[in-house]
Amino acid sequence: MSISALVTQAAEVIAPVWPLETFIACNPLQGLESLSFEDAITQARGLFRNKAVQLAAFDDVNQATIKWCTAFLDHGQAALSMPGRELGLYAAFQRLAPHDATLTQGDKVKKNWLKQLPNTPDAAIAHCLAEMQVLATDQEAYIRQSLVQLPGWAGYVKWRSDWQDANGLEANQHPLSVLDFVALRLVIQCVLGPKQFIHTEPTYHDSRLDQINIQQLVYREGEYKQRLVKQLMANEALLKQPKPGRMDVQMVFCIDVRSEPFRRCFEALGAYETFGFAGFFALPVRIHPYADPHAMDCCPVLLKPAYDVHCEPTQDTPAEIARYHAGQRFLHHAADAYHRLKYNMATPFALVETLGLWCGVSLLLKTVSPVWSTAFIQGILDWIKPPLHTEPRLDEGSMPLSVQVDTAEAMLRFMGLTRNFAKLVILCGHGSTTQNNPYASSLDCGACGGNHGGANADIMAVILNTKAVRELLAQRGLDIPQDTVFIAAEHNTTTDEVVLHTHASTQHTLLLQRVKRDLATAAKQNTHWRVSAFGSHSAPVATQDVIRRASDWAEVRPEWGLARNAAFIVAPRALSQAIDLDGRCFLHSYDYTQDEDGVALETILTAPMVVAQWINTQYLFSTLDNVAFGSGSKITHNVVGQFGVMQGNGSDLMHGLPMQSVNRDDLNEYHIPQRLITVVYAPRQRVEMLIARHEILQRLFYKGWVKLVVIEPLDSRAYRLGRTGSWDVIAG
Amino acid sequence: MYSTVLDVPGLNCDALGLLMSTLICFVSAIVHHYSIRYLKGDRHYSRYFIKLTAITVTLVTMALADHLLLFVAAWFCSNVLLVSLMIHKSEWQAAKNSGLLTLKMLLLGSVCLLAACCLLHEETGSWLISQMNQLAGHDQSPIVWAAMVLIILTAMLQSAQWPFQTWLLSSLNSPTPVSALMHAGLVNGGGFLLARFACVLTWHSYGLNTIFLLGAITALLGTIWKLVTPDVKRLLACSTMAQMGFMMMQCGLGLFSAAVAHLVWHGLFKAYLFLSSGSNVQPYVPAEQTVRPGYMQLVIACLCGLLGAMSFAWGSEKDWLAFDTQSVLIGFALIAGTQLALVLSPRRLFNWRVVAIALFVAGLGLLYGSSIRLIEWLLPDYTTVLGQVNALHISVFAVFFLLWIVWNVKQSAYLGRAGYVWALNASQPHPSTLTLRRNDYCY
Repeated sequence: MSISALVTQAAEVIAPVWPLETFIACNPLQGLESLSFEDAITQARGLFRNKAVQLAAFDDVNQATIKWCTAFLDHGQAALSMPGRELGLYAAFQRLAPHDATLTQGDKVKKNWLKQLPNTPDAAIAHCLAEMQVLATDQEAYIRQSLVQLPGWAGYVKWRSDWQDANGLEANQHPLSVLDFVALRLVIQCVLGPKQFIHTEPTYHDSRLDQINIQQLVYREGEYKQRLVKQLMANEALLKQPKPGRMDVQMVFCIDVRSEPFRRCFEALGAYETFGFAGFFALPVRIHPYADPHAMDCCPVLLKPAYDVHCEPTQDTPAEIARYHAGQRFLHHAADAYHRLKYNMATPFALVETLGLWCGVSLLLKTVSPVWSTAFIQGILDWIKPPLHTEPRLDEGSMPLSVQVDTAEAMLRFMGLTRNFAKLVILCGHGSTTQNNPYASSLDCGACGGNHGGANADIMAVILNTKAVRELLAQRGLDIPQDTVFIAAEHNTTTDEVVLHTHASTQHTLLLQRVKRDLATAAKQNTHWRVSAFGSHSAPVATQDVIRRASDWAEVRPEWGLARNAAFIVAPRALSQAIDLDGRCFLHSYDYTQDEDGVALETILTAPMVVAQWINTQYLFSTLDNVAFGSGSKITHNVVGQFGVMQGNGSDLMHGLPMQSVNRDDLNEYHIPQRLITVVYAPRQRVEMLIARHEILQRLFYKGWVKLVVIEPLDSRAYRLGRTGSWDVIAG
Repeated sequence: MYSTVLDVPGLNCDALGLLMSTLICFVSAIVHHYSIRYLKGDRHYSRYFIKLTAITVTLVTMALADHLLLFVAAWFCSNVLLVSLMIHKSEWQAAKNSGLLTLKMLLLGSVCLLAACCLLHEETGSWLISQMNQLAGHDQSPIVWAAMVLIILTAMLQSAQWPFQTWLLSSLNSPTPVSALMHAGLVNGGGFLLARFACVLTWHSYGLNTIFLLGAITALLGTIWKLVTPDVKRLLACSTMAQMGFMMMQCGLGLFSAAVAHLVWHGLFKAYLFLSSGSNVQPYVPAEQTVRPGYMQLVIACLCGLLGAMSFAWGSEKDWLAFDTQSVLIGFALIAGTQLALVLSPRRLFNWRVVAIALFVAGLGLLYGSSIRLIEWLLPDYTTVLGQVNALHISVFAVFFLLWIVWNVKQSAYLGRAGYVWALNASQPHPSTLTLRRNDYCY
């Protein structure tokens, strides 16, 4: 077997770890998903919670690995970066290692050995394996044992090598692969570490990854499933009634579990219909905000962005635009001056003495009123650089018309919105607002790659308001009335505020006013409900409380995010509308009668459902074992290299959610650990066909990672899919 | 020597004590308030707050103590409480180890301090700090010599001066607000101690020169290590180390009130940075290529820097032509002003921006000077022991100046490969305080 195949196989157990600025939920046991859930847990326990695997013998190797990884992977925290980074991790390390006294330990022989290392990581791995006389049969296990010592760092390297955009700047400027990482570790192991593969009997750390907890998990899931299916079945008859006529407003929300309670509040306030669709609105785009060099990949990580969309000011005068640029230049210079004085010889002393007083004032303001001080700082920034009204520019260069039409058609058909368009159709993305929170992006839209979803909504609204697009859609049987207007919006999940991007719209002003008022009412009601999860508050206090949480730099629980997620419901909204789902369900709108060929369902099950499963497993394992699969307590977090978090002085790169995101306090959980239950309202036969076609669905359903319940429209019965592919009637 | 504002037996509520108490109470109040939310749900919540309040009381006692034994007792108690706050979750071995390392260092400091106080009592027959000025008459006494050495040693241990810096660089297993309190409060203890016992140190010029040199070494090392550190909290710790070195340099120049000013402003600055250290997540940005400035640009930047230094001198009421020890500070202001002008200066010269930059640098210099003057004004009795600039001062300044020039010219290859690895290794925390096995972490 070639070295690279060997390493790939050994690294299979390591799950990729995303950087914090686009924190993506991911199953920490992804590499074990080919096993059944129970076996994977046992395996994971043996790999990551085993005293006989994470050995003291590796301490020195781990220390050196952490040191070199932090130095190489840094996004720009250190002013003086690792020399030779452009050559790649191994090559840079190879050049520096002979100078490292902790490796050479003053030993000439070791120094010479380090000087004569092979030039490629493959050769270095082979060289080290030979040097340590590892048997060919042991090699894979040996490399795996080395990798699981620091699963977080290994996982981040895996992300860099397998998931990061290969044409991206970082990948180009500092190339990195898992081979580099393994070569680095083995070289260090040759000098400092255990030279043989260590065979030992497993002894486990205390962890909740054991059979007793799995039994509890299964029991809890069963109970929840019973209740949910019963509630849904009670509404099944509603689906067969004729639909009401034209609604005033249709509003499309993200499938995110936080949308459900808000939708329920909003629907009750008028002739409003809501839909659930993945918050990137089917747009595989990279969005370039106006005059910002940093582009955002606003689509699920399962997709690669195919189109570059630039945002540009449309309604601002040249003077306003000039002012914006001047402000931006000023802020850039100010930040530059601060950095050049701070990271320099001889100058930081005067800098600190000059800024001390202002830091004192700032400390006081943030303490007295976080809300006011955050608003104050934002006010100053907006004064220096008044924000522009930018809109995405769509043309043949960014996204051809035919693609626009295809995407719009797919989105509308997938969620079953093909007729009875309301006067206002609001496309609502979502995002969060938090301060001083390394995990901020974990609260943003996962479907938008950990970014805010408003920008995607903007693009889709522009597409659907374009005359040419509507004409082509009409040819394909999607007749959107002339007076229908699409409006983009963004739901702030921390404060529940919904901001409508209405600057382009002049129609339906009265209706718009009413919608805005009702959205505010819904926000108030939903906030009230959400805040009760933090402790009881009365209504006016609730709104203040969430605004405070969004602005307070000391807040470790700004919102509960997707905690308590439990089910993924693929059905028309009518099936769940009358039920209080308690903010625990992903809701994807789907109408099987408009999806004869099953393409929509196929996409829903293989894309949004997979993302939901990633999120679900991340919450599950972060709750079950926060040390192995979570990030630990926020109070000792140390942001490293501007992309990750270590505990205290230095540790494995922490991956998964922080303890505060899943726990009420140190000892008591808030998230209820259970596996995802997918409920589909569609003919069983269609679902069966899709499972047969997709390996990933077989893995998730037959290996026990996701439970599937199908509500069969033909006989109005609910069927549960067993692990062997058999169907059991559970209700109806 | 001290103007007593309030009269309490055993305490000396002089300006320095009151200023320190104000700083301590301010930072402590901020940290208390911050921790209410930050530690919510922690299983040691109330215990943590009791310790936080207790450490505030002991620190204020220390700041105001006049009786030597009360001073030592408060010093000792605050350090023990600090260690206990640092450990927080004793099940986490790495945190425990960093606490124990700190305890070892700071206990040694406390013992030195106790010994020094006993020696001073032996020499003067008094237990009161306010009466130590009698030392002026005790020329060449070996006892005062020993006391001076012990006090310097205590200050170095407390303020993490080279070669005792490891405990500070390994202290980041503490909860963030504890770090904030520590970097704004307890590490400053060294500077405060030197200012308190200024009369002992000024007793012999060797004392001041030693402090100056050791402070300079610490400042240099801390600054260089900071440049290579990729994690935010250790970067802040390296920076504190450097700033403490600079504070020691100021003490060594006999500018005790300037040192106190530095201590206060740095404390607030560092507390702010620690409390906001969660904001340091950024997407990858390629390092910007610094464009070499033209000669005219350099000249203009130097002139602007000079203007800044002059307005700093004017603002802090220093005589910038006197060539006394204050000139060293003016020199550092000159470097900072020049650097600032260099960053801001436009490619095209002689447009309105040059004037704006000159005014801006001068304004900042004035602001800087006034903030120092403010502290000096609050400490009227500390107006410095002015000496002349000596060869040591000039050489240390020259080293800083040269390193600054080189940094501006050759940033990318500043240290070379060997130098980079040395800096990276030297700035590492103690291995026992790292969480090298994930399963050893505990919350």
